[in-house]
Amino acid sequence: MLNNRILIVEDDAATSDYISRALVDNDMAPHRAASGREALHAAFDGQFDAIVLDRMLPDLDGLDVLKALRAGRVGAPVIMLSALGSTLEKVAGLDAGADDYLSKPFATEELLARLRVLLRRGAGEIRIETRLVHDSLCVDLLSRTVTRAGRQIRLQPREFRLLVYLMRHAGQVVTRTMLLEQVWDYRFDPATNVVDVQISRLRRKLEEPGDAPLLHTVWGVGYRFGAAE
Amino acid sequence: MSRAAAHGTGLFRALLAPAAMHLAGLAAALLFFAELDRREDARATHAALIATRSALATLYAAHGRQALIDDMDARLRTPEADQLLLLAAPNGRILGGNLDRWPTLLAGDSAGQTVTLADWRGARGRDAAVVSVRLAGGERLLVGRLEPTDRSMTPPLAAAAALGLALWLVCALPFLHARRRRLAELAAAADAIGGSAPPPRFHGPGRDEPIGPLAGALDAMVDRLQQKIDDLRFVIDSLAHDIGAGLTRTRALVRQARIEPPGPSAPDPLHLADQHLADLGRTLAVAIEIGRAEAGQAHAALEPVDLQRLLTDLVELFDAAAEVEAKELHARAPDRLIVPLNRQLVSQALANLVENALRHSSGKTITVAAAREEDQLVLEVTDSGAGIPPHRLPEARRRFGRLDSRAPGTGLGLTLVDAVARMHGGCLQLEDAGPGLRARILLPARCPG
Repeated sequence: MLNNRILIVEDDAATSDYISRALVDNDMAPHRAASGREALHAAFDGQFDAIVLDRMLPDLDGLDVLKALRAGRVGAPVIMLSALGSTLEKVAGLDAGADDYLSKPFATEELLARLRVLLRRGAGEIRIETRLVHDSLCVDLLSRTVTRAGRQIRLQPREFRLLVYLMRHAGQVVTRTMLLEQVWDYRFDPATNVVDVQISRLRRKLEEPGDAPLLHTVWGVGYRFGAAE
Repeated sequence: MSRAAAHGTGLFRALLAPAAMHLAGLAAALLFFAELDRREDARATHAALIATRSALATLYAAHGRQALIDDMDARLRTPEADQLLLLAAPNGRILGGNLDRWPTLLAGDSAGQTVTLADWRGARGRDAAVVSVRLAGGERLLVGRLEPTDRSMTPPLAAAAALGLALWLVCALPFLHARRRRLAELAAAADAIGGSAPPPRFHGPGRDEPIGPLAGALDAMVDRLQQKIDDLRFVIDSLAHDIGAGLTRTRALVRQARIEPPGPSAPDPLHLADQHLADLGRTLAVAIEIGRAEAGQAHAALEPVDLQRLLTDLVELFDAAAEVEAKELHARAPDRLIVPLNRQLVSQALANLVENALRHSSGKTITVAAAREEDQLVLEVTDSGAGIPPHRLPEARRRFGRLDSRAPGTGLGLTLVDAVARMHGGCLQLEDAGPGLRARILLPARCPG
């Protein structure tokens, strides 16, 4: 399989190194740009599967780079990185056409998890589904019912959304912040471990003694839905 | 220009404008009184002319033309120099009187008008008030009086004006001087703000003066600024303390990891260091969020929010955590309560209040409610725990204030709630729920459409 080509636009050499190394370790091919102009040249010349774009660049604002990319029909998914971590900055980034927004400081696992989700979305796996099935677990999206081995499982509306999100990203690691953003539409990080306890409760509802575990904790990063690795 | 000279020029300017206004007012008053005087004179003259005309006409009717001419001659011999009399025959010939011709624009019968005499004893264009009557024999009789050539100011009025101006100058000068000196004091006090000395007071003790309210408002402004500076200093100190302590712990853990590999049962120091860094990041993010909300930048992101939906979402996020703590979380909001809010920040503020209740309250139930109360919108989180004693409430609201220093958290929770409330034009209230604590976000009620 071809390595995914990722453009890293970041003027801080240490951060750029750090991201680059993490991408190489995860079989991706990073290409680095240290300024907005360099980024625009690289993006218009080469085909990238995703772009990691810092918000504050020495010559241009990251938002302007993003707008220029979109105006130039560069459709690669973009994750914005920024030390301006406020909710409003995130909303501004997403409004300008970013696919995701990550505040500094961030963990590489968080960046990698988000990149993988974007890369898979970019791979054209868009299909209209009415059911999600994994082994004996079946989720009917129309009647909003969940069964496992014929046994009906009652979920609250948000638990249902949480399960659907996890199943749609089966096999991928999703972080707590990603779940807060995608399932609850919250762009802030509560101090308590609300996501962990939500996952625990969902796990208890899905998994009876003897069932194969479906929700796996990825230590220090988040969760993965699917068969045990 | 020296300061004294500038002061002098300024004083002169300060005097000039009120003095000019005073004089203008005086002139207007004089003109008004002079006009009144003139009208009164005109009325009296007119009455006298009518009376003379009647007397002469009666004489003519009783004794004939010659008697009238004789009487006119007698009247003109008296020293009333401004008296005018004229008798003209039906063919226009002058029969008697002190005018040499009948005024052009005067009719035979006039109840009273002003005419201009083309030539009066060498002076041209004298005005006169006249009445006339056509007599039974066809003669025309004119009775008139010359208007005065100039109307000088009535002497007592002019004297009063001069005295008023003099008195005004005597009274106003010291007053204006004192006011300028006071303004200079205020300017000096304003100059001193931001210096190393303690902030100056504008309103002197026991001073009762016209600019007292201004000085009081300036003092209140200085107090508010000082409070903000104190708050900011406290935040910087607290942030420095928290970040410094966190970084020290993190460095120690990294160093430990470099020196000795973790034992199988001991926690991984690098993992702990990572957690410390995540906590520091969270503190920083909240501090940034508060800064943005307080700077009013969050206004741009107001959107219509259904409060029932917002509270249900929040309860669905926290209910599992409440279950773990053996607590119950309830939402209560009326249907279709839709108001423009910053959904993210209001959710975050309410989440902070719910987290506080989950963490600190020993009570079993926590209620999150929204309601419209008269012209206010109330968002509140109530717990059934021990509450906070009234004397410790200010401490709880203070940035980085932690009533229990061992408890986790950034200490910025209530500060963020307060900032979000103020950003929406409202405020945060903490009150006793008897038992428990009720945190109320009071917002001005605004409903789109």
